[in-house]
Amino acid sequence: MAKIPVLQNILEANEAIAGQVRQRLERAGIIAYNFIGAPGAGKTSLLEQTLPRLRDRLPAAVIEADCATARDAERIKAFGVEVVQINTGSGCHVPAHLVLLALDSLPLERIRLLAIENVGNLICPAELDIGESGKIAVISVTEGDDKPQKYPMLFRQCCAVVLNKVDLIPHTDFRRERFENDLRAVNAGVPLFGISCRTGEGVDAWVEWLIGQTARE
Amino acid sequence: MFIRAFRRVAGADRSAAFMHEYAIAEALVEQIERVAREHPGCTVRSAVVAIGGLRRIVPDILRFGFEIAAADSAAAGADLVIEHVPIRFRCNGCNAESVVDEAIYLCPACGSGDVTALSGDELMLKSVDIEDGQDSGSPEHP
Repeated sequence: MAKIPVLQNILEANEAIAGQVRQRLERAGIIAYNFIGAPGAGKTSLLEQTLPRLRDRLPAAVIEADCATARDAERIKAFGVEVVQINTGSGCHVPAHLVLLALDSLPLERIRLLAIENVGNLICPAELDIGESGKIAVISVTEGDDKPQKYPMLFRQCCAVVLNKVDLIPHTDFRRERFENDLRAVNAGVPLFGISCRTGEGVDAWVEWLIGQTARE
Repeated sequence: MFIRAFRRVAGADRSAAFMHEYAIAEALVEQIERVAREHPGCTVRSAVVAIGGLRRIVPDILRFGFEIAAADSAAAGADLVIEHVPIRFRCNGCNAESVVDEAIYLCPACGSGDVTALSGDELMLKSVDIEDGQDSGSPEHP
């Protein structure tokens, strides 16, 4: 019997491809955000609120990932933005190689921001690097105020948190202070944007932050 | 403008039931097979993996996923040894080092949230135990 030392990251194959994605995006001067959240948190709604506010300020494109259908891509297309749909079948996250393929279909020379909407799931997408510049956690009031410590991989790694459906807070047991304490315990300095995609509340502050990030690049 | 679609093909159906651990099990089997190919004729007895506490992996589910992902591969029937790596961080304020069970990144000594993670996000194949085949004497492992 022989012990063969390996010492390799189990997700190494994916990470090598993520490195290729990152290199292509950096070379093209594109900042890419990976939007991660549960189904129904409002990831597509957030993009629908965000894209019109970016018009004439920041040329953007979108990669939409879902298990099935092109419904989200259809919603985004209505804003006149380039969009590529990835269908993952029963796969619960976007692997880096599908993002690499999708890049071939996007006019990289014309865009500055790439928004990648991951499959609705708080766990696996947080595990897999897809070559993004940063992860955006999208969570909604109706999911409860205890999620950051339940899903620490995402909330620890993300560079911003968008809390959607704040207009519903008065109708739920959600306590914003409890949510913020939970979040701060996992990621003390992360910017938090409380918004409502339904009323538009708070969306401007989020968009200004987003534009500020690309300006810094 | 039309919408271009890409679809994931390989492994899509099997991964439906317990996705999180299964995706990891699949990648793990691929890595073990790579090791096995370097030692023709060998039998894989076991594999040792280190999994950090932040990964929220349930060892039994990973073992179950591994069993299924390994079927018909060089890793079939191999034992999976899972080493737990605790969540550890150092406080940048008071320099204290802490080990925590839950993912709470607040220094227990001074309460600061300005901490640097030292461990906890590991997801690593450490080693593979193989038994050499009769016709493949490896000089490194006699």
